[in-house]
Parts: sequence; structure tokens; C-alpha cells
Amino acid sequence: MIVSAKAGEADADARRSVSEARAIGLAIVNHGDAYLEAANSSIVECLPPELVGDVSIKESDTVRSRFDPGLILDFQKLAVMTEFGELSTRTCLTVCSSEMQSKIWTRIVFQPNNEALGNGGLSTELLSLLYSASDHIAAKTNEAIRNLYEADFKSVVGSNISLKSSGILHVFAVDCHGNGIGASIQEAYSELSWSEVSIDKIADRELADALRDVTGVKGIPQQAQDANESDTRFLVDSEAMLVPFMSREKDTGIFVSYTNDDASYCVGLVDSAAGVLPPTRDMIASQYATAEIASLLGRQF
Amino acid sequence: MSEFKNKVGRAFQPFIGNRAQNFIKSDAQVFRAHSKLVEFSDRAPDGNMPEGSENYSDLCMSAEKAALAVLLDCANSVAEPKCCAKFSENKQDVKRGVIRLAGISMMQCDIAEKKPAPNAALPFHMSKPTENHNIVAVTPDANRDALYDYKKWRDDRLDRIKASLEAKANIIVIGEFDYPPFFKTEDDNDFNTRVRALINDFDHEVFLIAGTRHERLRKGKAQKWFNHAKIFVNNNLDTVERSDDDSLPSPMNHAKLVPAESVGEQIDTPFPTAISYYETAFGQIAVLICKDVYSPNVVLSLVNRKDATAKDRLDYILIPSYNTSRKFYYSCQVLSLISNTTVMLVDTCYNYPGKPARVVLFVCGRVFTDVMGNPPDCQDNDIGDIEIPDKHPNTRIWTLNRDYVVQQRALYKKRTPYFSEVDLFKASLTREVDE
Repeated sequence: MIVSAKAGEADADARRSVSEARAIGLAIVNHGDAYLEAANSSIVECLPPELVGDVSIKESDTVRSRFDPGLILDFQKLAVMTEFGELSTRTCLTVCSSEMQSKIWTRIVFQPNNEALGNGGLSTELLSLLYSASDHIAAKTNEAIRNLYEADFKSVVGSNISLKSSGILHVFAVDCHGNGIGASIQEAYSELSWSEVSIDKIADRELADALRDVTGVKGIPQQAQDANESDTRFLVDSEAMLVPFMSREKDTGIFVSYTNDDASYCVGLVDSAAGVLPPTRDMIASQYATAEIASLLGRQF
Repeated sequence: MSEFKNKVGRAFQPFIGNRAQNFIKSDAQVFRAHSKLVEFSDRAPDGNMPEGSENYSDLCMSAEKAALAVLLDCANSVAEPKCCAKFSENKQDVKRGVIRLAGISMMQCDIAEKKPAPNAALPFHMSKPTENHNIVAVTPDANRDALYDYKKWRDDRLDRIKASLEAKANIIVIGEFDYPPFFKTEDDNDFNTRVRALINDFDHEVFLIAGTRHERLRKGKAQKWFNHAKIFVNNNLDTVERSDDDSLPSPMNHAKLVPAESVGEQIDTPFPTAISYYETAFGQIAVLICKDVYSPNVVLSLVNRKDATAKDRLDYILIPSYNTSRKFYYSCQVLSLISNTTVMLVDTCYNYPGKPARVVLFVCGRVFTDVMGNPPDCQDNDIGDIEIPDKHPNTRIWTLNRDYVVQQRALYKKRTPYFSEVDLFKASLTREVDE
């Protein structure tokens, strides 16, 4: 959620100096428990019956902070163990200074229990359920955090400015295991990265089907998808773009991005080549890719 | 096109090539390095784009930026900075408004007997302890056993370290060749024990470079010579729990990457010759010894990190040196500018005419004392302070307002517009795997 400021009905400038951002950050850290509780309540309220479980604080550390270059506050990670795997959330708030706007991010990660899923992997139904749950949890959490942030902002700055959402950035990715789909992602990545001509379609059938599955879970509005269901290719219309993306960890992905006037959707597939978490990494492949895409987008606002 | 759409298009612009024109405002340039090089190759000067025309100049300028982007990306894949020790699990930036840094320039020629040097610009001599390695030793033609007084050397340094600690300095640097230079084990043990006790006597976090020296490492019959900076941290800074197997030596040895061949220094160097840094609660601290500053790997790595996120950013670059050159001083300033970070130079070589300073702090390319009274682009006018202890005129203790540094970092695009465009070209390359 991108946050902008209003003074009454008019736009206002909520960008603060770095020292004011630090003071606001300290107020937030001091109320860390309230922020954690808000995130916790949002999960409990938004979990569908299929995914209900006990919410636990995954890490006992306090709110973490870094200037990057705006002040970024990372709240504690929360997790729910469901029948299908672990669903975890972490929220972070950027108290922006200088020319940047504030942002509230909620990252939701589902790490499937492969035994419960069986050989078929993640079904389209479960994928849809997870996306829908993530969407609700993130919206609810971001709104709760925005309320608390507004109160802390006012208490430090002492102004009548209110903080409202001015846009939403959705980034959603699914890890793909398997030689076939992995090779298809790599090939498409290479073609999209180096071609001198504009590419708006994916011809590989397996990759096209998989893209249809992930973009079909409301990530990308219908008008940006392949309009012809009999066509095996995945096409994007002129309003959407195919984005080849490789994380710093060298995980390759293909994303579809669509943007309207106040919401952006970036949905895709990431090749998880090893299929298991290598010992040197503490996140799954799609986490690295989505975190970097979120950072890329965030830097523009 | 809405501003919202335009911004999303800009974020993805390096990855989608010419299609970006559909998603960003039409006057925006496409920053794709290989596309620009293809265009440069393809569009030789002709009637439509004559040599010397504005369009041709723009194309050449863009191709040059794309070329630099390729060079930087190549450097990144062979010489990425590496973390050699982690002293903190968690940075809490919000709680740390200031940091204190101390630079201590001792000038070794003051310690031993002052005699005319064979070369006034280089008052040290060379000795040859082995066939394959030269080391630099301080004080020319001196009878070292007679003139070198370990206790005096030790006490002078401990006295200055203590003064810096009393001024609450968190990062303390003594210059090159300023660690006790000779190889008496009992002297080493005594010095290290006293330094450890001293820094642990204070309740703030301390990262100390207690000078450097040439020293030999033996492994079986093989031996190697290094120029090692000696790094100590106190218990308040080192909060990472380690097993006995993972314990860190104290001091830690940090090897020089580039021998000063022009003055005969022949040493072994670590491989790969990339920047090494330390993760601390203050941020990431890189250490370069003297001519390391001239290493292409170092320079390119730092340009690559000017816009890095907190995870990859080098927050402080500490440079103990012994160097007569004015060019060296300005090279350190350049490193600060192109890496968009804080650089501390501590030079133990005497005041060569025209050398601006022996101890200096650069913040994002600017000399700290130059901006103290006249902060550029700064909303928070408090930049910090500087103290010069009466007893130690070549010691500087800076109190640096970290908010000022954060603001300056955020302004890098304004300060280095050429490199910022190079960064955009580089984004189209950095995600390619070399096999």
C-alpha cells in the first residue's frame, strides 16, 4: 500500500526530514506490540476455514529497522501451520523521507507440506484459495497498520495530516519444480531478455498453461489475459507486459504485469531448480524474486 | 498515461526493452545496454545522423554509458565484496542517531631516532628477510634493536586509543605500519592483551584498526608475507554467539590487496583480490590498506555499490596508509563520491607539500569539515562535530550525524547523474548468469 497525505480534502506533503522519520520510527518501535497485535488479528479474521490454525510469532526479536534510504521497519514474522503447509506473514513499513512516499508491505509466504499435497503439487483450487486469503490478509493488515502509523505520525509531527492509501502494488509468484517447466522458464527468460523485438506471447504449452493458472487467480484482470481460450499460447494485450526477472540469487522467473490508475499486479512463475532449500539460503526462490520486485517498484514511489 | 502507470513502467523498463515505450512517457530513453550497443554499431554517421550532430553525440554518450555498465557488471561477477566476519545479527538503525569515528596518525619517523633519510619523500628503508619478499621497515639506516623501543611505541599508541575511547569513538583507525613492527612473541602478546583489555573497559561498541605490519605466515615449509591490518572489536560490538570452532582470532588479520611495487613492497595477496568487509551494528565496514585504493577491482566494486540496499551497501571504508602522494588523498575522496559512502583516510606519512591532510573524513564525496558550516541539500542542519585533542594534534575525532549521511546517500542521482544513468543500463545486465 502506497500512502499519501491529506489535509482535509486536499493533498498534503507527508514527506519528512530524516530526523523526523527517525522520531516517527522510534514511536512505532515503542508501540511495536500494537502493530504486532494488529497483524495477528488480521490473520485470524481473514483465514478461510480450510486454512485455520494457531498463529504464532515465528521470531522473538523486536521490530528491526534500517535506512534504505527511507527508514524501513520490519515487524515480527507470524506463522500459521495449516493442513497443507505453513502460511507466514511479515509486515514492513517504510517511513519515507525526502522525495519518497511511505509504503506498507505485507509479505505472505506459503510453504507447502508436500506429503499433504501429494504428487499433483499445488492444485488450481488451493492456489486460488491461497491467493484470495493472501489478498484479504494483506489488505486487512495494511489498513490496520496504516491506522496505527497515522496515529504515531500525528503524535510526532503534530499536524492535522491524515494518511490514506493512494495505490496498491500486488506481487505474487509461485515456485515451479521440474525439469520441463524449469527449462521453459529459462528459455523464455532468455528470449525476453535479449530479443530486440517486442514479445507479447509465450508459445511453450506447459509454461503458457502455468501462466494462465497463476494469472487466473485474480492477480491479473481478465482483460490483460489471453482472450482466446482455444489458443494454446499465453498472450498479453497491449495493457500488460511480460517481464523476465532474475533475482540476485539467480532464480529465474517470468512475470506478467498489468497496471491501472491505482493498482499494479505483477504475477508470475519462478524456476525453483533444486526443489529444496539449499543450505546457504533462508528463503524459497519466489521469496527472493518477489522481494526484489517489490523493492524495484517501491523505489519509484 | 497516469503517473502511477508511468512509475511501474519505469521500474520494469530495463527488463522489457523497447516494449517499455508502451508503459512509460514517450520522451523516456530506453536503458538497455546491449540494445544501445547494437544501435551504436548499426548507425554509423550518415546523412541522417552526421558525425558531430547532436543526435550522434547523444548516441555516442549513451553507448559509452552502456559500455561502462557492461564493464561494471563484469567486475561484479569476478570481484564481489565478501563478508569476512559478522559481529551483529541485527542493525537497529532507528536507535542510532550519531556515530563517532577517530583517526590517529602517528608518523613513525617521530618514534625512532631521526636521521636523514636516503629519500626524503620516503623515509623508510627496505630489507630482505627472504629471497622472494621485501618488507618495508620504518626509519632509515637505524639500528633497530637500539632505537626501537617497544614500550614507548606501545604506550604512545595505547595513550591515543584511550583518548579516542574516552571521547566515545566507535570506529578507531591507526595508520599503516603502526602496529608493533617486530616479531617478538612476548611483545605481540603483551600489546594484544593490553588493547583487548582497554577496549573492553568501555561500555560502548568499538571497532579498532590498531595499525598494520608486514608479517610472515608459515604453513609447513611454505611461507608467505602479508601486510596485515590488525583488527580488534570489543565485546559490546561482537554479539554473535559462536561455537569454539567458529571463534574469531583477536586481532583479526586483514590483508593488503595491492603491493606498493613502486617503493619495492613485494607481498603475497589474498585471492580473489576483492574487498573484504565486516558486518557490525553500525553497518558494513570495509578496510583498504593504502594502494588497495588504486585496485580496479576495488574501484569498480564500489561504483557497483553506490545505490546498493542496506544488505549490500558498504557503510564505512577505512583506509590506513603510508603515502606521500596528493593523488592518493584525492583518490580516497573519489572513492567516497563514487561509492556514495563514508571514507576515513589515516595517513602516517609526514606532511608532503600540497597534501591537504593526513587524517580526513569524506562523506559522500565531500570533506566533512568543508560541509560542517555549510551543509548542501540538507534538511537536518546538524551534520556533526570534530574534536582535535590538545595532546594529539594529528588525531581527529568526528561525531557524525547519521541522518545527514542518509540524506546525502538519497541524493546520489543528483550528485552523480552520469553514473546514475550507467546504473540503469547495468540493471539490464546484472541478472545474467555467466557459465
